[in-house]
Amino acid sequence: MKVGKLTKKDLINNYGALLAFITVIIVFSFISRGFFSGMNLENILVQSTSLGICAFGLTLVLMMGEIDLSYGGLIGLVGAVLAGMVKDGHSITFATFVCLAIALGSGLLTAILVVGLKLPSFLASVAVMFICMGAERVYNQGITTWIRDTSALSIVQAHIGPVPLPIFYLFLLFVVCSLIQTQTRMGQYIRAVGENADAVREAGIKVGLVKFLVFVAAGILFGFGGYIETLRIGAAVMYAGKQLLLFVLAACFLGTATFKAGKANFPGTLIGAFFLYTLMSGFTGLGLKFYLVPIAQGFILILAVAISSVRRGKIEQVQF
Amino acid sequence: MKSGEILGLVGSIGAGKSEVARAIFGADPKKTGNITISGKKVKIETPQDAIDHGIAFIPEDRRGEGLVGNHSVRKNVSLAVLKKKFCGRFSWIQQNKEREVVRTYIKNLGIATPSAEQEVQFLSGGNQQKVVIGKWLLSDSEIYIFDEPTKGIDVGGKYDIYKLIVNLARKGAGIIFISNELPEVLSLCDRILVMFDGKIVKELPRAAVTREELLFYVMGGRNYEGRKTNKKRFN
Repeated sequence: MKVGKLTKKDLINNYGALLAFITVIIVFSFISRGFFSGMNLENILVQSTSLGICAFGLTLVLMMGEIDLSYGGLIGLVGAVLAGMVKDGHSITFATFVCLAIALGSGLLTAILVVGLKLPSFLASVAVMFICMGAERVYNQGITTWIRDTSALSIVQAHIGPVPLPIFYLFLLFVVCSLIQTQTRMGQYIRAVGENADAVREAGIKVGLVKFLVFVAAGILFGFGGYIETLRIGAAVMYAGKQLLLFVLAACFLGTATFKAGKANFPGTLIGAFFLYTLMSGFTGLGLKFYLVPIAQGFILILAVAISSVRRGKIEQVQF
Repeated sequence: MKSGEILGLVGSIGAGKSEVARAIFGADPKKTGNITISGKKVKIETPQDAIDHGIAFIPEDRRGEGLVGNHSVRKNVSLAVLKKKFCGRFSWIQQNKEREVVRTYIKNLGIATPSAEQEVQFLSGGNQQKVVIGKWLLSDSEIYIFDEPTKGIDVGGKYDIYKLIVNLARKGAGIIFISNELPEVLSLCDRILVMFDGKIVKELPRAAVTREELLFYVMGGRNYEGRKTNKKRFN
């Protein structure tokens, strides 16, 4: 391995998706009307917060070589409970604690299934997702619940100085997650478990405990993502998690093509989240029909990942 | 086993040497048997228990079990003792201290690596093995189990590892040396246990044993002195 000198080829291989992202921003700034304005950019950031936060949770799990799709149901469940409780006149503080408890419960359930009962994480988390979806449907009976309580909405719609709160949350969590990953014992264990769980176990570390804690932490992050999503929209939409299911996955995997070739990482995931919403916003600004946007998005994503993966000669995949 | 002793464990492939080692270390569950350290019976069920009792295990499959391939030399060496030695409040890693310590180990062990940040998968077999050993030296182990430590390592690397093992023994560590290469066992070990078909069949002191005798037991022989020879047939 070469150390130090970064050649042009290395740059494309390792940062391909990042380059694509920057290119997309530049292109949209010229051709898409109103794209490069403060308000639109702020909008993109605010929109990507819930996606980003959920994707941080998934990134943690992917790092240790597992997967957790439970957010596909949990986001909706948290939203439904939050909106329902506020509507029924409970205080937002109480509702927040209930949401936290639900997220914790979901995380614990996944952790017990995967670590305790040794189920494959994909299956176990999909099962938890279905359970959450079902619970959501039972709770809100399939009706969109609006939140009109302004004190509740202010949690997300207020600003700190000029910065909207969601952006603040997103970057705060980004910094916290990154620091945990790079600077703490736990962070190092998580990556090491993802690479070689046997070696970690034989170094006297409780691999099961590490996995358990990560699944619980991911559950809480997913719950927080759902919480933000609901308050940002101002309503609990039916099956809100389904909408984000693949976007969150896409953000994480796009992240693996952005930095650290082939490995889940937080900066990559953050860029991945922004990338997805930038595309959506840019194409909408171009006046593309809403049903054509996903097609255009799909092609750009293929292009972005292909630049880095194909040039690298092989596509490194996170195994789970 | 006494402190400062190098105990050889030999046997052909499949004789159960590695299984014994893994059971002592708690890497695999054991059915029966006790482990006694300094006169006290200890309970070892997981690698953690073993490490707490000062046992280190250098596995045969170092890429598979000993190392985290795409982590740096530094992270691999410090993995087992992050908690004990390098963690401050909130389990924050004290990286400067870690770097300094790892650097001294790289120097003392003679690990040939461009830097402490090099990923171990790019090191040679011998250097990888030294990284694994460094990990256990750092954790102040008293009993070292080497499971075929020189497998797939070039001559120079082998010599370095023999030297390391002898030095460890001189400093008072107890060493279990597992191998199926008889010459290295004969030259290194103070006492040799021969395993055959899952059982220890013979204990030999090094001084008296010849290569032929050792080989005889390794191949499943029972009684070297009273063995049948084919001499008569040729006479």
